[in-house]
Parts: sequence; structure tokens; C-alpha cells
Amino acid sequence: MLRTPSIKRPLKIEDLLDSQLISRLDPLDLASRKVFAGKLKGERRSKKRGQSVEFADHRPYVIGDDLRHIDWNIFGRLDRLFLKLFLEEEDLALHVVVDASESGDCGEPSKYLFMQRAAMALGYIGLVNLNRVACSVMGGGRREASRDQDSRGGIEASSEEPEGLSAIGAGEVSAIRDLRGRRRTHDLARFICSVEPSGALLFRNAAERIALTRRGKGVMVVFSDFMFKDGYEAGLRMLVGRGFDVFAIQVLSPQEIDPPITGDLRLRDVEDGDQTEVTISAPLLKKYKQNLAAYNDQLRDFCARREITFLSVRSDTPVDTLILDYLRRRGLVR
Amino acid sequence: MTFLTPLIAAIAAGIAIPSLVILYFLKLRRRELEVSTTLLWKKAIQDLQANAPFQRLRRNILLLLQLLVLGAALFAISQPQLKGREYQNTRQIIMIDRSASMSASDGAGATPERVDDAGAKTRFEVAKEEARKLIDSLPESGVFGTGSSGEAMIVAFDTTAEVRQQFTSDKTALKAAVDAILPTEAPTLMGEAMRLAKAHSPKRALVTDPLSGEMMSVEGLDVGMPVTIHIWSDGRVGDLTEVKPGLSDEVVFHRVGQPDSGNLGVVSMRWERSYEDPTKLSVFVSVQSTYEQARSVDIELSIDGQVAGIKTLDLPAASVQLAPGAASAAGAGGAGGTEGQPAAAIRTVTPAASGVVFQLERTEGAIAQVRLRSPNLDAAPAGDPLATDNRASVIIPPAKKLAVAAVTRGNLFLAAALEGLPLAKLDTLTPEQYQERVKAGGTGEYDVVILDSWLPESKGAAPANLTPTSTVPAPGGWAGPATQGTPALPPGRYLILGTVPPDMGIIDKGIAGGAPAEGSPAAGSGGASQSSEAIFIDWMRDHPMLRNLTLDPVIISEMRVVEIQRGTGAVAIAQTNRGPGLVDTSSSDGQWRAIVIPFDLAKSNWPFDVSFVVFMASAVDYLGGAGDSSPVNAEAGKLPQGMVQPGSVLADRLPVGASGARIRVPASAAIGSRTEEALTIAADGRIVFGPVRMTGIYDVSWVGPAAPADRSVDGRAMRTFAANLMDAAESDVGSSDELALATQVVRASSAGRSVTDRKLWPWLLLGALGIVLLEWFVYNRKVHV
Repeated sequence: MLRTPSIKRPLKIEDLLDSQLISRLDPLDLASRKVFAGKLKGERRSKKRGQSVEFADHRPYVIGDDLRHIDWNIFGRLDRLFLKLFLEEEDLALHVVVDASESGDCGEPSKYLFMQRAAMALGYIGLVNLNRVACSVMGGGRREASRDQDSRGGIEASSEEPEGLSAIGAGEVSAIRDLRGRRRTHDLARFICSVEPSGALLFRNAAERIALTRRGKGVMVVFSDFMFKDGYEAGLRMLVGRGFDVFAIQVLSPQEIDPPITGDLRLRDVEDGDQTEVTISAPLLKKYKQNLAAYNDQLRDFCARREITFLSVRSDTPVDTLILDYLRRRGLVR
Repeated sequence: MTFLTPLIAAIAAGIAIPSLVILYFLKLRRRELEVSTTLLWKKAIQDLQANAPFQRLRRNILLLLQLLVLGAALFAISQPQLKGREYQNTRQIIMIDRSASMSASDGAGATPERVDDAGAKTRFEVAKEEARKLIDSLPESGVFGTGSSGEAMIVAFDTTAEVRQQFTSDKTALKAAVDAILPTEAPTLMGEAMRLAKAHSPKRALVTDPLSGEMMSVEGLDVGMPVTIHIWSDGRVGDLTEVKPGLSDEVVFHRVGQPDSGNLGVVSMRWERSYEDPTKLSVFVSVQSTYEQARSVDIELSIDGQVAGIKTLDLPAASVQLAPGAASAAGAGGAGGTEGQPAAAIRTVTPAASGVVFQLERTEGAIAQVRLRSPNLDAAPAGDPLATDNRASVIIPPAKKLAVAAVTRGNLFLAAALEGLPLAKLDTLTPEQYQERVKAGGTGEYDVVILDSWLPESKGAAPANLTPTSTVPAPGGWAGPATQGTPALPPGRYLILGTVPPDMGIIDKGIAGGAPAEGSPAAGSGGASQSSEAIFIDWMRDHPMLRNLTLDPVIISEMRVVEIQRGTGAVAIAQTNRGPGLVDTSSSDGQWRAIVIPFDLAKSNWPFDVSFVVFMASAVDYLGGAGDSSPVNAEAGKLPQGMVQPGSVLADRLPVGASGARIRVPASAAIGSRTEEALTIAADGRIVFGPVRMTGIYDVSWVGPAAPADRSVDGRAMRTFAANLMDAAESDVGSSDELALATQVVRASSAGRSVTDRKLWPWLLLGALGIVLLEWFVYNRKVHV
């Protein structure tokens, strides 16, 4: 819960994913409880009929249909023209949303670092399996050096990032979109590394931006601590509104769960500077833990009612445990 | 309750309490911490504040506890004391009786019937306990030294007294000094203890000289703070009239023991051999009882550890008189300790005494011991509180008859006097016969040789020249016996009549009044002028030879004037108006001893007096007696040879050439497990041990020549001494109600009264510590799970 004493920022993809983790992530693929229509051809079966090797149905020929799809065997037997329909294989859109408010820099290990690595791992899985991957960061600030690198690296104009801004406003979102294929993993990594937590976040505004600017449907994974003074309800409602399969992953530091502080203290909020005077005592700590549990229960209830998959993890959980165990059990990866 | 330092506490309170309260008014300086979010904390605080109606009171519990701690500490700083009894003076002298009667086991908790229980405390233990209590209750100066501190001095006394601890306020040292006192088995004398105590009080006053205005000191004035003298004793003190405390001193008598305690004790034990038949030995034992009823007791006599006889002795009841207390009469005179107490009847006990005689046939020497037993039981008498006086022992030398040689040319008086003596052998020799025996070396068989007007001739020299001129020794003649070539006399014991041997520290001045150097003394010619007459004017009446006779009727018609040479072993034991009349002389190496009568007996009327016969008998006994040196305990002449009383010093002279002397003490007197101690032998063979603390048998052994009466054990000569209490006053153990001192009569202060003078500050600090712990607990309950 306290600010992390010395933060080691990840700079390259190697800082986010080590080779061991990559080798364990490679066999995984994304999944969704819902089947969405894709935008590009991919490896996922779609509701649409299309071109693939898997037969789906026949239908009578109408003028204008592609002659190549006529089933000539049936024509020979019945002397009528039928069209062979195949199952279309499409891609799945994965949208990873990371909360980069300044509270991410708190805790040991840092919550934001955990979110970066988890987002990178999920993005990697999506890219490797030819899915469309987008990543949005709510709040935070861009590092100068990484922006230069971005321009050199020639990121395509798919990014909506506002050029020349080092700090992103409270309701602002920077995003990288429509990444596809294994070779874009570096672009994703660079983007994730380029944002540092700073300032406060208005979750509702940020969620609204993301909801308005997204294209298509798919899976959305939101990493945050969901400790928003203006409430998480409105934001989540907006994200889930258009049929996204939303996963809400709450990241808390171990210190937030069991505060190691004593004495007479003046607590200052790192995001908005709000101050609270407390004298740490046994009843107070007990009350704090009760409040935290109640808050999380409320959040879980809210998510369950809106078909949002909710998961609370500690920032000291290994990323592979999160991906291979928790998220696999909840059906995000398989 | 009194406060030693109330002012300091008040000042400290004035500073500390407001400071503590102000600290609580100050706003708490809080540590600032950055946290990820204050969301949950805010809610928690709101919840808590809503749920804690006594929020302000909860916070103030700590203030309350801290005020309590502070209050206790401040109270402790003021050093409150709960006063018990206060004595008049701040300086106390604690005198503890450690004598034999204090070992009586009728201290606290014992009834007269059950004094021999194993659990019964002795009077001495009770006295030490009470003294420790008194030391504990002494006022202390306090931590800041503003109050006056009580000082005390410890004196332990029996026959002698010693200061065990000088005046000090160090209670640890005082208690250690009390603990270190050991009981002895000596009688009680308090005079020395009181003089010792007074010697340590200041005796010097500084006054302003009215003439010069200068300060000058006056000795002898009782100045400074008077002292309170605490005496722990049973009141059985032999010399109460010698005890003179200062007039302004307060005397408190703490009586220990039961006033009506009875006791059986051996108060006397003597032995005697029959004059006619020395093998017949009688041992007299005298026993005293202070019981109010008649008692019978068995007396067991053992000779050298073997039981030789048991006799039953019936003792009548002691007579008890109750008289009104002397303290009420002397109440006005008593400076302290008497007021307010009704005068109880004073109990005076006249002990009943009786004795037995054991008849034995014994020629050899022996150690005779007696022990009191219950009738027909091999146990101490029932209900006897004092074990020390139930035993006694004496050393009995072997029976001995003397062999005497009288070297004379015929002396009627001498022969008549010697005939009546019970001697083993009496040989009358002429000088020539004697000379032959000396040459043959056969004179050793005689215990005593009487030389009548004749001296043996020295070897290798002419017959002793007895002319007065020649016997005047050269300077240093005594120290250098070579002036005459060889010693004139062979080793032995001599009674020399009518002549003066040379080289014996006696200078012959010739016949008084007569022309000197005329005629030989042996010729004893007439012609003496009338001025040569002499009479005895003084003699040592306590000398063994002269104890029972008077020399007043003796007139010496022709006196030989002699002079004692200084620095020699010669002592004039009787003086005439013309100088020494009887001389006791001995050589420094103990080779020979002689009694010299310088005048001619025939020229005096002494042979016709009865004192001459008595003198001859005692002189032969003295010379031939066991003592080859001066009598033991010459200063304590009342004790026979080989006996010593606890409390006095054991002193004796060993034969020349003795070395490596050791003394074996009884087990009860042993320090630790060491029962043997080395003794230092002085140049003249004197040994000193003591003061003897306990009764029992003390064996002195040495390597070297032994005196005739000494035994020989394992190649070492051994001489035995018996230490006995044998004190009738000490054996009367009933403790007395009052001490009739020379200047005042002190009644016993009420026994068993506990003197409490408790300091409270350690308890207050302890309480403060407890509250601090409680406060810490409360604080932690608030802070931690």
C-alpha cells in the first residue's frame, strides 16, 4: 500500500516476459464464452459461413453466387445447382486495459509492474494465435525515450496516442490497436513499457473513451485495483455495454491486504493528496480488513450480475500462475 | 508516617505533573506516510468513531495511568517511613552476649519442659535475630542524605569483649558483623564491653576559651550525641557493678531466655592423691541444680575414655525467693528503660549443690571426664537447656614420690625436716660421696639435691672458690658462664643452703656488717657484728613455696648479703631488711633450677619455727614437682595445672628445643573442619593460644624433649589441657529481669516486641513499576492485535 521504494521499470520485452514464461504461454490460445464475429480471417470458427476447409451446409444457387463454390457432384446427380457452404474461421479481438493511475506504483512488488507483465503475457498469447490485440492504458504518462523509439520503430497509425503529450489527463486513454501476428509482440511490449503511472484516474471517463472508440467485439481484460473514489460501477457498465466479454482482474498488493504499519500516522493519498490522520490500533486494523472484504464482495456481486468475470489477485502472484491457473479455470485461455 | 524529603518531592511534583498534562494537550506529531488510497482508511475511521462512544475517555486512561505512576514516584521521592518505636538517640551500640549460658536452648518458642527439642532456638540465636531486626529498623538517611541516619556499633562479649563493627550506618556491614559472632563457652563479664563501647564514643569537647576566645578541646567530657546501648543477654553477668554506662546514655536490656529455666551443671571437679599412698586417687565432682524441684542425676566418670564409674546424685530443690523489683525503688535513678513498666517480683534462686567422690586406684596419669546423665539412661538430663556444663574434665598427672639427696656434713635440723616428708628415697651423702656420684654420672636418679653449705667443684678446676671477692662475677658473667671454665652445677634441681653458687645471677656481697673477704662462709665463723642481724620484711605470699607460711618470727643473726643480677633468671622471693633472703633462680635453658637460702640456718632461729618444716616440704615438692617451668596460668593462679577456662588464654612453656608445636582443639571449637593449628614457640619456649572459645580437651604436641609429666604420642611429646566452664553463676541459666548496673538498674524491655521502622519508597517504586506495566499492556491492546 505504501509507495514502492525503488521501482525498476521494464524497458524491453525481456523485462516483461522471460523465455521460460514464453515457452509455457506458446501452447495457449484465447477463448471466449461468447462467439463473436471477427473482422479478419483468423483461426477461430465464426458464426459466418466463409472459406475454410470445414463443410457447413448446402444452399440453392442464386444468381450472382460464386461459381467456384458450386457443388458439382450434386449437380451431376440431381442436375440442380447447389452451393457448398464452409465454416468461416475468423480472428478474436482481445482488448487489454491497464489502469496506470499513480496508485499502481504502490505495494511491494509494485502493482503496476504486475499488471504490465500480465497484460504482456495475455497480449502475447493473442498475437501468437493470430488474434487482433488492442491495449489501452488509462491515465499515466508517456516516457520521452520510448516515444522516440516508437516513432523510429514505425508504429502504424493504428495508435490513437496523442503525440507530444508526456502526461495523459485523468480521463485520458492511450492505446495501441489492431496488432496481429507474432512479429507485433515487440510493438506491444514497447507500448506497455512506455507508459508510467502518474496522477489520478477518472475511471468513468476513461471507460467511456474506451467504449466509444473500440471496434468490433471481443474479449476485454481490465487490470486495476478498482479503488476509485468516484466508483467503479458506471465505468464497468459502459465497458460491458456492447457485448464485450469482460474480465475484471483486481490487483492488490499484499500490504494493502494486511497493512504492516503502526503508530500515529498521517496517511496521504498518492493520487489526489488527500490526507487522513489515523492512530493505528487493533480495532482500526480489524475494521480496515472488514471494509476491504466488504468492498471486494460488493465488487464481485456487481460483476456477477453483469456477466463480468471478476478475479482478485495479489501483486506477488507469479504471472504464470495467473495465466495458467486462474485465467484458464475461468475460460479466458485454453 | 513521616517524610524524609517532602520539599524535594513537592518541587518535583510542581514540575512534573503540569508537564505531563501539557504533553497531553499538545497535538500529536504524526508520521506522514503515502498510501495507495485512503478510501478504506477513511471508512474505517468513520466506522470506529461511530462505534466508540467513550472515545475521549479511552484516550485518557493512559493519562490517568501515567498520573498514577508519576504520583507513586513523587511519593517515593518524599521517602515516607512508617515509624515503629523510636529510641532516644540515633547512635546505637549493640552488645551481644556470647557466653556459655547464651547457648541454653530456651530461646523463643521453647517451654521450660521442652527445651531439649531439636527445634528449640538457643538464646544466642534469638539475640542475633532481634539484633538484626533492630538494625533493619534503624532510620536511614534516605537517598538524598537530608535526614539523619542511624549509626550502630556491634560489640560481642563473654569474658572479654571485642568490637565487631565500628559505628556505621551500613546495614549490610552491621548485619554481617552480627552474623559473624560465634557463641563461646566462657563466663560473662560485661565491664570490659562497656568500657570498650564508651571508648568508641566521642570523648572530646570543643569549647571556646573565655579568655582568649580560641577553641580548645577538653578531654573526658561526654559530648556529642549520647548513645543507646542495647544489651542482648540473659542477665547472668558476673561483674554488673563494674558496668558504668555514661549518664546520658540510654540502656536497653533485651532479655533472652526464660527466667525460670532450671539447669544442672558441674561447677567443680578436683582430684587428689592420698598423701600417704599416691596410688589412691579421689575425684571430687560438685553439681549444682537450679530446678525448683528435687532432681536426681547420674554422674558418669570416664578415665581416658573408658567409663570408670557411675554414681547417682540426689539434688535437693533450689530455694527460690520472690522479692519486689529493685527497679521500682531505683526508678528515679534509672535514666531510661524503667518508666512505665510495673515492677515485677524479682526472682532470686539459691542453687542447690551437692557432690560425689569417686575413689580410684591409679598410678599413671589420666584424663578424667565426667558427664551428667539422666538416671539409668545414656542421655543428657531431661529438660536441661545448657549442655556445656554437663561435662567437665581434668588432667591427672602420674603419681610420683620424690627421690631426694641431702649432701651435708651433718645437719640436725635438715635431717629432722626431711625425715617427715613422704619421699620415695632419701639419701644422705657426704660431699665426697656426692662428688663421686657426679663423676660416675649417677645423680640423675634424684629429683632434688639439697646442698648444705657446700658446692660441688667444677670439672677441671679447683674446688669452687667461695670467697666473696672471687664470686663477684666479671661483667657479663651470667651471660658468659666461661668465666669459671665450666658450670659449677650439673643439671638438676637444687636447694642450696648457707652458700651462694656462682654464675647464677646472684652476687655475693659477704656477711653483712662483717669485714668482707674474711674467712670462708662455710666456716661460718662468728665475729659478726651486731649489725649483721636481719629479719624478713616481705615475701611472695602466692609463691607455691611460701603460700602457707609466715616468716615474721624468723631472726637471722648473721646475714649474708646478696644482690640479684639484673636480666637473669634469679628472683628474690623473700626480702630481708638486708636484701634478698630467699632466691629462686633457674638457667635460661631449663637445665637446672635452684632455691638459694644464702644465710646459714644455724645462725638463725628459723629451724625452730614450724614454718621451716612447711617450707622444706613445699620446696621439695616445688622443685621436684611436675612443673619443670613456671606454673601454667601463673596470672590465673586459681586454676590448677593443665586447666583453663574458656575466655582466657592458654599459655604454657615448652622445654627448650621443642619445635613444630601444634594444638588439637575439640571439634566444637574447630574453625571449619580444621582441628589442628600450628603454634608459634617464643624464644623462651612460651606458647600462647586463645582465648579458648569452647570447653573440651586441648592437646599441645611438639617435636623435641619432653618434660617428665608429658606423654609421648607418635614420636611427639604431648601435653594436655582441659577447658571447663565450671562457673556456678554461669550454670544458673535462669535469665534475670533486670541488670543492676553501677549507675542504674535496667529492667528487661518487653520481650518479643517487634521493632518496625519501614521505609515505604521501595514499595511505591514497585507499585509505579506495576502501573507502568499495566499502562504498556493497555497501550498495546490499543495498538496491536
